[in-house]
Amino acid sequence: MDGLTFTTQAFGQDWVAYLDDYGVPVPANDWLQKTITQAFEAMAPEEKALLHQWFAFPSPQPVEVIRRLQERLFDAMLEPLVTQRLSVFSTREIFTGVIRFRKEQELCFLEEQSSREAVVDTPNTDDAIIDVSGEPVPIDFSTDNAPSGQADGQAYDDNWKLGHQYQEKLGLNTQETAWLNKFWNPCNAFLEVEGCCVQTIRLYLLCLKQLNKVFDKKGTTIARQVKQFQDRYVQGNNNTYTLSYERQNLETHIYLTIFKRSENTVREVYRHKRKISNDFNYPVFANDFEQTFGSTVNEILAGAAATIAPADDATELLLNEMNVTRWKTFFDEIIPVLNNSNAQQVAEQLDWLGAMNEKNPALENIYFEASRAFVKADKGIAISFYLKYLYADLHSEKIDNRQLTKSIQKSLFADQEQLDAFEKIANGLIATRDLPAALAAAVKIYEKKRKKIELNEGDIAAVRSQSAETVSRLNEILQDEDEIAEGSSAIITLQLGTATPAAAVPQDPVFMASVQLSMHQQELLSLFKDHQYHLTTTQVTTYAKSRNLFRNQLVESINDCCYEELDDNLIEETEDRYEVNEFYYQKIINLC
Amino acid sequence: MLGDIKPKEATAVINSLLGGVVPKIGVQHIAVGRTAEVNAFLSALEDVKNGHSMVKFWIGDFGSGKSFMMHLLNTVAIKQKFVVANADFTPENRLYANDGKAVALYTAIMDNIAIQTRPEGGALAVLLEKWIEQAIAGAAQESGLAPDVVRQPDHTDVIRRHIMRTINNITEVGGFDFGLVVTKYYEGYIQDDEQLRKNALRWLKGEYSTKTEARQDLGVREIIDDQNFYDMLKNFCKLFVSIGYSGFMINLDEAINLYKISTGAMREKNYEKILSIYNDCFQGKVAHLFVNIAGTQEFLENERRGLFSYQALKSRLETNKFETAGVRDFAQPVLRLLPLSHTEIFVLLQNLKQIFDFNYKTSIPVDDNDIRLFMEEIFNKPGASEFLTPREVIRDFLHVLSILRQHPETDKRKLINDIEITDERPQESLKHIEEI
Repeated sequence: MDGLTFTTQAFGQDWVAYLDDYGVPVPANDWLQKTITQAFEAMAPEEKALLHQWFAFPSPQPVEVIRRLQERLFDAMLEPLVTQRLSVFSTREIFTGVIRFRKEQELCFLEEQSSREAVVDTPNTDDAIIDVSGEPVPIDFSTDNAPSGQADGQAYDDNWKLGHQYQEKLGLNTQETAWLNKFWNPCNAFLEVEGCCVQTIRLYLLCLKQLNKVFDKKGTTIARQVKQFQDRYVQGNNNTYTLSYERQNLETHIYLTIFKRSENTVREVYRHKRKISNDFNYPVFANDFEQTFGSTVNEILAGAAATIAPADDATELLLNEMNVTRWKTFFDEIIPVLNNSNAQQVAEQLDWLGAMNEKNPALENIYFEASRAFVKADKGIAISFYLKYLYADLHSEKIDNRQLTKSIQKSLFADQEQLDAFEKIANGLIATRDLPAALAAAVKIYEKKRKKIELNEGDIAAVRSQSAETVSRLNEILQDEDEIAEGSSAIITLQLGTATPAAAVPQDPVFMASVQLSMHQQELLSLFKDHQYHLTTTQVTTYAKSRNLFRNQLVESINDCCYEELDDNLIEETEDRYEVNEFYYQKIINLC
Repeated sequence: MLGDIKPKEATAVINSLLGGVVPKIGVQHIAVGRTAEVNAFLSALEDVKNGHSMVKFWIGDFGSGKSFMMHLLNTVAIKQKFVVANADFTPENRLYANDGKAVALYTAIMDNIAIQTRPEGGALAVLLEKWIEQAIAGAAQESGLAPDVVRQPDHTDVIRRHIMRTINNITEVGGFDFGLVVTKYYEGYIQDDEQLRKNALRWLKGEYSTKTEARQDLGVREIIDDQNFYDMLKNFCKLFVSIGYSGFMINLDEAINLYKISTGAMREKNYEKILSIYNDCFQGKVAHLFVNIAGTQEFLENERRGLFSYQALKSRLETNKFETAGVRDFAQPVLRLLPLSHTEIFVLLQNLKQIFDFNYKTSIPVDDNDIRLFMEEIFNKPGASEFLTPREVIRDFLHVLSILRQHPETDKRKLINDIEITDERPQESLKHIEEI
């Protein structure tokens, strides 16, 4: 603010910078400036005077108190601006509210001051010295030796800082507390979630420690680098009144920028889509900042992202409530791996996602999308998710009652019976709102109905009778020997030109009457008998050749003659010899 | 009921079914629920025996019992003095081709020729020798020489002339070369020239790929190839009948491989060949030939790739419009094998239990109620409605009986509950066949 006196123009400019800092779009025209000016002009003279007094310099207020007051004004005006409710009237109300707040604060402070015995003055701490005791030690944030009169106000306002807030809770040492107290608590919705704030603090402190190590290797420290940075930009500023302020402001912004970058890293890891601006607040010094601190900080944070602890359930719940589409990122990571074999595990992950979105008004969408995704992998799980969707929808502000498409219904339900059963369950859920009962009933839709084998005595008797008839008819064909034997004997007579009736051949031994063998056939069988029923192929060939007969045909003709009687081959051909089944042989010579 | 089953049939039935294959003998004892189909093929066999020719299409889905019926058909046909040959259509075997795939099917058929005394196939040489013996007898009678005399090498010409004349009488296309090769086979035997006999058999099986080679080895001008193999089959059919056989039955399984031919034109040519065989058989151009083709419903009815994609076949093979599920017409060329009903499976399992007890001379404590429970359990297994086949039901049932026989103390209910079924269907999908 120009000369630290409250002028509407300076206030407007500072506020625009503040808005930029948080990434809030600012109207391009001078509407904002005019609104602030008109609101200020509309205030009572005594109120204007108070503003002038508090923002005047030198002031009885410490610099940080002025900044805190200024930021309070910024914060109060942010919400009406974003929601487009900012007007001359509302701006005036905000100014009046801040004035009232400050008056009350001063009153309380005076009462406290009168009751307090003494204020502990703590020695100045060099940032390079790291306290390893772990004991919480109060520190002084001012780089200058502040007048004793300011100490009381400073101690009071310091309670807003993160270092003081989390010193005991996180067991921070003096140095860590000091680093966190370098700036005022940068309140925003993300940091209001305790889990996020704690992780940001831890990452910020880790980053600073590593940054210190980097500087240590170069023979310097963060504090010295900050001091040098300040020195470079206050050169030529001979105004002793503003010099201290400028130095302090630069230091605050250096640490605050590092903190914001840490916060953005946590936001990214926690899949919080909205990011805050993490540019250095002084555009003129931005390049110098990046060279000195920024680039190293970015590298450290990129490497340290893995050290951020996963968000706990409470944090997840709050983040999902804050960011209603955050579930999609998780959903899109879970679903692609879904297949028939891991459906149950994937369903468990989605159930967890649903539980973490309990407060999310978009919860029903998670279940609806899950039911669609599971159609191919597991029908049972798909319909259970649809029931969960219905249940979530019933408890939402607006009941959409989205239906599954016809094609999905066709995939899910094999027949009308299954569809009817499901509709009954869904209607029951809507009526009773009893989800566990509906889920238990849904499981049974796909349970295989056990088929009963119904057997009728009459049918069995009919089949048995038909079967017996068939077997009998086939037996007749396959085993009727007489009829076929009769037909085959004619063929055998034809096959062998030399065949003579059995009676005409002196037979020793005598074969059965039904087996009519020629002389050559009988001779060959006798030969087999003489050779223990075994003959080599060569022996049979020689015999056949000597009678000008075909070897194969001679053997086959014997088998043919005997087949009807034996229902099997008498002579078996193996690789290089023939064998006569002795049992069959005995049978055809009437010995069996 | 099973009083007429023989011990060796019982053993064959139990052992084969435990191994998941159709038994070689005794198959009639497990032919439950197929009375109409059995009557249909017995009637068809009778017709073929009487000089008609027939083409039957056995249509059923995986596990419906096509192979079982073909096997039963084989067993009965062999017993009825048919020469039987089985072959599967494969990606390398088909009815029409220009690259040797059709003659490959012919070779497979000729390799698998079976008769009663050679039920496992490989009977071509035996049949040929039988026919030659017949020709020798004929030559002796014709020349007035004694049978033993006419066999002497001096009279080879007499026999050769008789063979050629007889062959010419019974064959139409390619008869000359066919007769010449049969004569060569005879000469090889008389001259003790094993190589000559082998070459003659090679020629008859369609194993010569070039005419030059065939001319060098046998002195014939032609070979059996993709174009003339069907004429040769008809020649063989006549030859077998002339020996005294009832007819020639050719069973072609896995017809889905014709459906899978990716080139539309080639597929159509194969269907055209089926039409040509169909017309020959039903128009009386060939006698005593019985061709059975087994395939799935997709092979028959698919309008884009199946037999029904060929209009001339579609009009011949369409179901009798008056047929219903209750009133079936088994005289049609297409015989649809419907899945066995629960009652039929129950009776089949009852029969198997009796055969099992008979085979092992035991009495397993499994009653009708246990069989019903077994069926209930297995038909309620996940996936049962999609892929459970009688083969697996039978095998699992026999496994339960087998365990109970060897370990009588085992809890049969637990055994039944522990049954797990697997999908034994071929894994390749028919939906993703590339069309060229």
